Amino acid sequence: MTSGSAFLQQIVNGLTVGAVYALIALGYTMVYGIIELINFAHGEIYMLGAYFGTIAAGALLVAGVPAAAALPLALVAAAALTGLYGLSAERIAYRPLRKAGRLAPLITALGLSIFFQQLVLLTQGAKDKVFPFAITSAGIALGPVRVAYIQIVILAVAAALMVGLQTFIQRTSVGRAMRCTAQDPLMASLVGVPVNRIIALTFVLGSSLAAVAGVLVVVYYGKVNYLAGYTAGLKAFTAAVLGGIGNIPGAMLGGIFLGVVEGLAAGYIGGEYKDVVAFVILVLVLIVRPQGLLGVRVPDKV
Amino acid sequence: MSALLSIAGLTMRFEGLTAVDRMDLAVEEGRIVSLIGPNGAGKTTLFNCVTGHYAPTAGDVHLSGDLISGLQPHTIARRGVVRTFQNIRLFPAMSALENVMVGRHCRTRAGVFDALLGTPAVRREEREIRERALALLEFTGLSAQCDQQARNLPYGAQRRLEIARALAAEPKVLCLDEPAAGMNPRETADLMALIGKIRDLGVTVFLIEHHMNLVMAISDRVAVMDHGVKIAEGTPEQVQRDPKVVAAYLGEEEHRARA
Amino acid sequence: MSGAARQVLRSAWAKAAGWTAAFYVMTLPLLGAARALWIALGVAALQAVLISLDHLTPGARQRFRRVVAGGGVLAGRLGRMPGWLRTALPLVLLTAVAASGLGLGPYTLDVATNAGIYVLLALGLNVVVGQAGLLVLGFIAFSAVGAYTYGILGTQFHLSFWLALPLGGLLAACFGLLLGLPTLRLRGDYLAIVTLGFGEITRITLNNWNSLTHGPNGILGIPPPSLFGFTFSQPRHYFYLVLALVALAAFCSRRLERSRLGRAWVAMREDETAAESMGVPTLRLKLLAFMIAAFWGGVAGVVFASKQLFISPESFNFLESVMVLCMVVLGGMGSVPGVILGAVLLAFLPEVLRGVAEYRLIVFAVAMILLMQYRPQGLWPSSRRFEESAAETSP
Repeated sequence: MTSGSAFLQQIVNGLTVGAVYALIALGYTMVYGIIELINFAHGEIYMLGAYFGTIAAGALLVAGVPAAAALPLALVAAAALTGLYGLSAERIAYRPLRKAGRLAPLITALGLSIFFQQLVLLTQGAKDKVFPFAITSAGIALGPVRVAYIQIVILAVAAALMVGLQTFIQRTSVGRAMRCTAQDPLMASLVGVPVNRIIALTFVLGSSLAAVAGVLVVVYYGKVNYLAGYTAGLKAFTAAVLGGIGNIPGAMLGGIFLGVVEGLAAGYIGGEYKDVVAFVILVLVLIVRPQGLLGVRVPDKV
Repeated sequence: MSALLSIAGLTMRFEGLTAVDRMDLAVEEGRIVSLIGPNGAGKTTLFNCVTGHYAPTAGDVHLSGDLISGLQPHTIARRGVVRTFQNIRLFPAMSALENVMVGRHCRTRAGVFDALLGTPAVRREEREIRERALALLEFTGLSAQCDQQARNLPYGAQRRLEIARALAAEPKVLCLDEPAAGMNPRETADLMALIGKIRDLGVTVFLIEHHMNLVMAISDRVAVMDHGVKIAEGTPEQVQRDPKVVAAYLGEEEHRARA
Repeated sequence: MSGAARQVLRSAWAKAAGWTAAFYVMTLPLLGAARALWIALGVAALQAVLISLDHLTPGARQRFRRVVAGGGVLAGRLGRMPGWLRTALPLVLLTAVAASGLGLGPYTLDVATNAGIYVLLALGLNVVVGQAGLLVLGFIAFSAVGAYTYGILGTQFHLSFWLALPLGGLLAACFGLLLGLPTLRLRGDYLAIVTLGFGEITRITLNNWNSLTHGPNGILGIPPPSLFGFTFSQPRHYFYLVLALVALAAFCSRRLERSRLGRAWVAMREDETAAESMGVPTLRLKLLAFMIAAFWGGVAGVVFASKQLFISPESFNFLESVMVLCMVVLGGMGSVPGVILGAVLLAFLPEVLRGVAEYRLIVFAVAMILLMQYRPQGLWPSSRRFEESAAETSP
């Protein structure tokens, strides 16, 4: 491969990874936008989605369901289960702390993150969990670049979900309710928006998207590990901050950008320092432009 | 007498809204100058520019000839411009005494190593801080409440505490943002007396107020703002009679009534 | 029973059924059908108990919560101690602990020393989180700086431990200065994340800078401390060293708390804008708190290296930072005795859970979650913090 085509190949791979980051980042950004909480447990939610998808797919295969049907069914199952986890976390752990300042919810989020991680470790073991059937690595050639079918699927699913979410937020009445709760929860409740339910919905939506991302990733790489949530979570969080935390198109943009930059870095600097890229971007964004690419700086009222 | 605090051409623009537009004002030493105007006129914004919470878009503020606009609030406080807030901002869980003691921070010096070593000089400084704070509480009539938590004090006492805290920083110019807000006539009269005492100490007072009686009774000069612009300035009597001021406060109704 | 009460009860049972079903479904894929059923039954039982309690003794649960959250009884009573007792008590405790060191076996001493290092870390973090009120998530990076300073300089240049101790602390403080300058003006959450990012960058750099740090293999053969020919070799030696450092750190914290600086930090915590307006240079003071905390972190790191005789980047991961933060939060932010208590409790937790070691982390996680629900100000909060959290949550 020439260096030009290697570059393009990295871009394609980066876009795929970026799409996954974007899906996870949406959960972070929606929750922060609506209750100003950094949901540290969200990375573990993604990991749970991957595990549930794997387990569901395995169970379906055993029950005789053909692979082609098992995959989408497993996706739905994973999204539903993970949505339940997100809902439970919100209802049991976060909701009582709505008025409790910044520290208590943060510690709770850290605690939940460790809890989910340990839950999976204790019940599923420390070894990688392998997806029950292998996905073809066949693909098509677009000029000098090779795009695998699975990559196309990932990009297509992610794009569809992101467009769907954006439409939902902008065009439906529930989406409008979400937007106004994000701006001013008190006013929203005064005009009749069921704020608690909207917040719960936000968690469910974010968790389901992360779950889809999880299943797509476990299908792509063939396996998942209980520690996957930590790294992916932090990177997706970086993506959300990069795009502007609380800003939905920003999360999508940030995810893609991070995926591509990371891919290029892995290709040109070397794999070991790849993980540093995300953290360096995170630190730089927060220092130079904390509101992110698409966010708006809100001055403090004196 | 020379102007202690001079505001020249001060403009503050926020994303399309011009809150303060080319404001000129000179506050002379030892005087009490009031700034009045309808709500939203930009008075507190002006204060924020003077005290360093905002860096003005254009124009500047000088204190005794030295440029202070654009500096950090704590630097400006140390130079001698200290303020109180429209919505009282005391340290809620600290006692009244501790609140005032914090006001002494910029006039004292003990640092990390001093604190760790506990030298006699440091202990003396702490004693002085405490004594000064108690004296200021007495000056503002709060001696009895010195150990009470600031958030538990009655409203009028909280306002006076904010003033005591500001005085602890030995300001040259004391900026009071609506000190009489929410006060009954008796409390307002007490406040007037207090401001008079402060002026007698040699402190210049620059205040924003809506209580016309208070403003007219104690001010040496009054400036009127509306929509970010100064529309009148002069002695209290001059300003009271100015038709532009009347129109700004009463608005269209007055015109319609006269028509 | 009135219609309204019946309605309330019916909806409570309906919700209970919902949660039971939800928990069954949620745990089914991970635990299998049998154990998921047990969990679901447990959840159902718990809810049944709560509903019955609410029905038979209305308001009791809320009262219980208030007692648990409001019980600053111990702090209050201790706060009213006469001055001489307040100085004497810690000294008595210190002597008692020192004396016990003579009688305990090497294993216990070792555990106690490790706990002591955590106490040192917690006291350091307390300065920036508890006193200055800044949220820091990557604290262990400062420890890493200290540890690697001694690790590298001790093995390659035979730097004496006693020189490395302050040097490691100072280097960590410089590191804190570099980190703090661009970041301390950020708002709470953002600052927390930036410190997390820096912590991870530090760890990954240590893991990959093979020429300097030997990467994941770590540094071996770190020399133990030696004094006039006498070399530290037994747990007892380290125990007294750590005890002395803890006493020093606690003393410094208390002194700072009661000083002009401590007062300014409290003011900054309660209303940063107002403090700034009163001439308190908030950015400078935040930086100072950060550097002091970093110093103690570095010191703890040097001691850790000199005791383990081997260090690797894995010891300085995010979980360690979280652990130290939880020690501070558990004990009571801003309260020196509280923080010591919190650190001791969490440091001894692995010992207590020796038999069920693999459950250590999940128990810890659940404990932290419950703590935030029922007593967020910690076990032994300083009376001021207690008041502040009361001021924050009341209307």
